[in-house]
Amino acid sequence: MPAMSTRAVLELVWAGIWYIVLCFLAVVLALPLFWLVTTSLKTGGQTFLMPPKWIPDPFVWSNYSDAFRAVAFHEYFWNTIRIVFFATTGALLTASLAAFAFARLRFPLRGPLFIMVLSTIMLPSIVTLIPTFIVFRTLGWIDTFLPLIVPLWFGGGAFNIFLFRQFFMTIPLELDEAARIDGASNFRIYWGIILPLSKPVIATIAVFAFIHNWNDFFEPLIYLQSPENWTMAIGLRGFRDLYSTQWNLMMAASTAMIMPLLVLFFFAQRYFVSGIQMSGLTGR
Amino acid sequence: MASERVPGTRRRKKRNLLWSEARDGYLFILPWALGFIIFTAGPMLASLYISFTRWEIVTPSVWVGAAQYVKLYNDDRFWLSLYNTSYYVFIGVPLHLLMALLAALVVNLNLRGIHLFRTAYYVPSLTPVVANSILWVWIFHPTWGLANAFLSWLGLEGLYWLQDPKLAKPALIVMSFWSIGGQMVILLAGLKGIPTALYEAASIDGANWWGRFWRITLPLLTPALFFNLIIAIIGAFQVFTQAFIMTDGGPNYSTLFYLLYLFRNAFENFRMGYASAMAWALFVIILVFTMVQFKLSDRWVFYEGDLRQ
Amino acid sequence: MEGRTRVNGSRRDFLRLSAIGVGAGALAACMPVAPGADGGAAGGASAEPTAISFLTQGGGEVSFLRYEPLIEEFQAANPTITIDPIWEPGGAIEIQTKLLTLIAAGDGPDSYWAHSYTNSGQAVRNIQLDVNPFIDADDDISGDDFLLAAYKDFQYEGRQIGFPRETTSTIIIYNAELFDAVGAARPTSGWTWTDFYEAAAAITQGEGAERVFGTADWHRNRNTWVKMWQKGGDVLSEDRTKFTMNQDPGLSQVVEIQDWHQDGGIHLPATVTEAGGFSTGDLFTTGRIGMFPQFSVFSNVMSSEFEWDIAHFPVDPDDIQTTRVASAGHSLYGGTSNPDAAWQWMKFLGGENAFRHWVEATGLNVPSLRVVAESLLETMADVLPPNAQIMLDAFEYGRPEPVAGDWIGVHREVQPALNSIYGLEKADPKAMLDSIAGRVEELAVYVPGV
Repeated sequence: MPAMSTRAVLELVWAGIWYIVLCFLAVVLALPLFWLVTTSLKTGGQTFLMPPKWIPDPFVWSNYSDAFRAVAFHEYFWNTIRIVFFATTGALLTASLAAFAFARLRFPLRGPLFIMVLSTIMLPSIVTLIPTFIVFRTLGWIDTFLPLIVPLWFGGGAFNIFLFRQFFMTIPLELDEAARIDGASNFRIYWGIILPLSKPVIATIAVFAFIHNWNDFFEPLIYLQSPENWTMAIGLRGFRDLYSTQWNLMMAASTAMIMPLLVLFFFAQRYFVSGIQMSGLTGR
Repeated sequence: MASERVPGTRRRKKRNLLWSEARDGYLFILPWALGFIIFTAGPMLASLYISFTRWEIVTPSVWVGAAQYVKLYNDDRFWLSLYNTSYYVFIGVPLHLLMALLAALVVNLNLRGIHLFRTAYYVPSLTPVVANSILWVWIFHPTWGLANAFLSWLGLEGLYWLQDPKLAKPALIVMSFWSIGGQMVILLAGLKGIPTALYEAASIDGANWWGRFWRITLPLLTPALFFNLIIAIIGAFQVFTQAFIMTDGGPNYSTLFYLLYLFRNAFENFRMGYASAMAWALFVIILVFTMVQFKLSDRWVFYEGDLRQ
Repeated sequence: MEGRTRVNGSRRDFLRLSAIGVGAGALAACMPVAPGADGGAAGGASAEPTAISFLTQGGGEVSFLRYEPLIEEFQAANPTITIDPIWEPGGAIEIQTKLLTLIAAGDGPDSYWAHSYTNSGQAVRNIQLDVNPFIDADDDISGDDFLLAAYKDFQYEGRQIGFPRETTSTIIIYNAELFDAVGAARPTSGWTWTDFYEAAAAITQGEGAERVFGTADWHRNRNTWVKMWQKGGDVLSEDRTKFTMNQDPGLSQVVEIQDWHQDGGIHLPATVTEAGGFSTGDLFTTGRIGMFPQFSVFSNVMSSEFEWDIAHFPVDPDDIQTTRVASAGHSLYGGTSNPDAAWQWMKFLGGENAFRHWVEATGLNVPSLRVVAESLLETMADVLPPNAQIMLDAFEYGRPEPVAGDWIGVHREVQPALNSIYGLEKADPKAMLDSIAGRVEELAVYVPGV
């Protein structure tokens, strides 16, 4: 046997081992999801059958239509889409702006200001709930989408600023300096050089912001009072009543809610795993 | 690598450049600054003021100076909730981070169909939190849950996961491993950003996988690791929903986390002054931790485009 | 009342000032158009037609059906009054959170859904409007219209803090087939605790996951309390300043229930139900529980495919016959600027029309309006247990919880202590209850700040 062939066999064995590891992890990690989906197809009585029934019998597909009848998800869907779209766009734009400054420009108090950015997520929102509500009430924004969208056009949240900053800081500074010598403004550098190189992190933050706003129920619950303005995440709570919860219907609605996210993630991942190869640019 | 960065041509225009650079810096953060002033700073200051008052939301607020903070110091439930939370932070966060790193390395493998596995690993973090919490209550059920079914498959004795005061916190930490997806994706994006040329060069130098991992992968991944660490610490200090839905703080107060106790004070018992003092105490704790981490990060986080010198 | 409203105003102004900061003006310039905004919930200040805001529990279509037709009916009958509902999909605590947020913002709802769990904390702080003057001046409605204990559930120190809507009395639910299978006599109206124990012991059999337990759920503080009340014990002393669970006669009942929890005992281990997810009702439905105390809500056991029924609590010769009553209903906010219109709305919600609607359209566990509750026994006979009359009788001898001070706080202290006594730790009852006495007393005598 030639040496090459032994190596090929070895590689094949390794790949096999990796696949076994990958599959094992996938099974373990997917178990809650499996339970979610199977519960969504059980009758109400089977939900709590003991020992648990792994495979529903019969498959109650009508849980899905029942769930959509019990809670007006079709209405909430468009509200959710609108909020998610505008909130995500705002977060991407303004968070990347601030992050560019923190990552690549020098100005007095940059460090303390950045800590201040992070400090906004350090104070538990339970105690700012009432004053924040008063702010939006004074602006006349209660029961509108504005409290869920506008703040994201003003900074986009500490999480997103920080994440952008971390990735901007991995881009070699030589690029900025070369552009500056060519007379490019800072905005040009941001827009023309840094952002195009940051597609992976843009995709990552877009997906995260999308998912976060999609599933968020705490804020919408406070600010949206009329059901016609509700989001799907609020609707999910409609399955809980005072004395009982329709778990199978709630799980059906949850499953329906994560399916679009699943598709989104599946297709978006090729963007955030398409790492930018900067070695050619820096001449290293 | 970083020393030859400031070119001589820049020094001449330094004053001028610095001024315009600073001006641009402030302009770039202006949207954030406006948002901070309009939406965030006011409520934060209001809660700070409330923490120095006795205020039961429907009664007038009375200035009591530092009395709420003194009460905090003498409240053993407060210390207990801080202990429970610290346990969750200092045991949970490092493990969580390690798991996320391992998962990111695994899904970074160049194998056919790897994107399917990536999706599969990420999916658990998509499940809405209420549904997820109740699923885990079932999984941890001592008699019929999956967790004990798995243990008995290994030939081990079943555990009272959420009923034993010694196990409830570890159980919630175990549960958190299923939500590593977000961190995994961030690390994966970091991994993908590492120039392959560096690996090629290292291979020529004869470095094995372990050597390449230590000398290239890990250093270049530190910005993403640092991000995950900071965010995870801030998030873990504010752990709430799991205890609120799954354990209600029990058994025997073992999952009475800081925010759960704070919430009960605020909206069950109307003690908004006390709750605000709790919130600001936590704020200071998290702030100190974050600032220490930033200081320490000078030693271990490596940025390709670092402005510090 | 007036004084408080005024103080609220000044506090609100302070909050608003400090919260807005300096940037509100700058914002107006860049304020985008609100998608789908109509500002309806803000409420008009115009004098003639009155808008009454109504914060209520609901998220799904069923909960909308509970109130929307009633709102239409009420508005048709009262053309000058409109009802603006604010829906909150959550339980008592979530509603209270929303209520307090709205009050603090100066938007306190005129009327709102209320629950006995949160009533006392609000009553201590005088949040609800006392409707006694309205009832006295009104010939159409009287406290006697309601089931006695349910009505008492909405009283606090002589004030009527609302009307109950849905109420429950705690009774014993039992699996008749399990009783028959082991030859135990089914519960009768005069059964004693000895009968109870013997039946439970006979029913308890099997091993591991297949084990059938005689009884369950006594570890919950509310059920332990009923057993204590029967023997003359209570959570607090008569004047509600001293914790008395740590002394007899209350303590002996805790010790007895702890005995039931011993290995091989008649009681489902507290660890199983404490694990959540699988509730006692679900276990009962699958034939794993002989009998257990529950408030008279049957939705969770209705799918049982065996014969089941309800019974009074067992009583020994010297016992006081009693049980616990808990309710949800409606209250008016003391700071309402339209008390008369708000009263009209609440009176409507306390009337027969509204109760008939709830029973027919969405179902109601026990309507707290006597006449509707009694007719329910006939109209709902097919889903109610044969002896459903028992749950109504229980309202005559039953009582609400002995609320005082921060009552939720008392719950929060007692339940974990009982869990430690009955659960894995098997803590010593006396020592455990002694250890929480100080805290409970502090909570019981708590007077809100001024």
